[in-house]
Amino acid sequence: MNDKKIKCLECHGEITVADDTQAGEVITCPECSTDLEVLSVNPIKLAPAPVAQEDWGQ
Amino acid sequence: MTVGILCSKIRLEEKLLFREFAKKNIETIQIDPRKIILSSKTRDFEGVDLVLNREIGQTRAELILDYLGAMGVRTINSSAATTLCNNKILSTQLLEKKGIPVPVTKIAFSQSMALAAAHEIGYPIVIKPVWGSWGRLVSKISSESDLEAIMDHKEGLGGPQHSIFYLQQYIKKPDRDIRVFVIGGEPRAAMYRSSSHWLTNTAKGGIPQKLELNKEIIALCKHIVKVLGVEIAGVDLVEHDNKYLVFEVNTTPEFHGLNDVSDVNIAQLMVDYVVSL
Repeated sequence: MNDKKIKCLECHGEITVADDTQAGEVITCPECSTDLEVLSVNPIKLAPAPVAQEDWGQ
Repeated sequence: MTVGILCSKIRLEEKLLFREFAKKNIETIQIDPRKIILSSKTRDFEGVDLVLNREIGQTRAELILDYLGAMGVRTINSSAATTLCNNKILSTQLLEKKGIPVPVTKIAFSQSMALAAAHEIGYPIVIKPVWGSWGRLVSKISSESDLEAIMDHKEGLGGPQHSIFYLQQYIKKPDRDIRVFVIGGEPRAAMYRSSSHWLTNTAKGGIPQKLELNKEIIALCKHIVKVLGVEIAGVDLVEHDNKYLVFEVNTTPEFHGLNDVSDVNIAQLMVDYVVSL
């Protein structure tokens, strides 16, 4: 396992990013519960996850 | 073979699909709608043999599927089937016309006609958005005054879609509905979604439980997907008066709940189907 650690954008808590994580996944900070989108995995870049839109679904 | 997977968000479902394609050494490209520009010279789809739609945003998914269809790119599902299923007016009316049982449904474009339509159906009724998922903005209405209040609130949301009133008979169901997963026209797995709440969507907390497919469900679902022209679908049914009624058909169905309770690997079956084309 090559899990990586990164700081939460919101609370600076430690987030573990699993080694099989893909760009486009949404991960949740275990400390503040903020949802973050993984923009890239090498290097790991995070952004606030998109807010659910009215037409999201299925 | 190279498969484009149209998706902006990688949920468990998309992750499983990417894994299954990789197991078969099928090249995949994630096509994120937020990262492309469509024009007659768009090159994002060059070399892609087929695009599997898994996009969570239904509006942009429909537009991109329309574009791809016009450009001659094979998609699953087709743009026509996706548009038909996403629009509850079209899909419900077509299914009913073809003799498939659906709840009594009426559509109105003004509050006065919606009140008349609800009177014809008989209270309680359910009001739903024409386009929408996850039980969002679906309301059970017990009286004319409740309907007037809900319609006022809907119109207050703004946007023309909230002034179209899709009204449906309230179906008293046995604390559960049914999701059937269809791949390549064949029902492959099913589950109950149980809840003490009248809305049983898993997005609303419905608990998945395994359901063995029976001959009646298989025949009904085959008929439904043939009428709508869908290849991969999540068909929502409800038990009512010793028969099954169809609520809706989803063209990019989630399946994490079904995967947990089913004996089959949904992602693998989807990939097997795509590869067989």
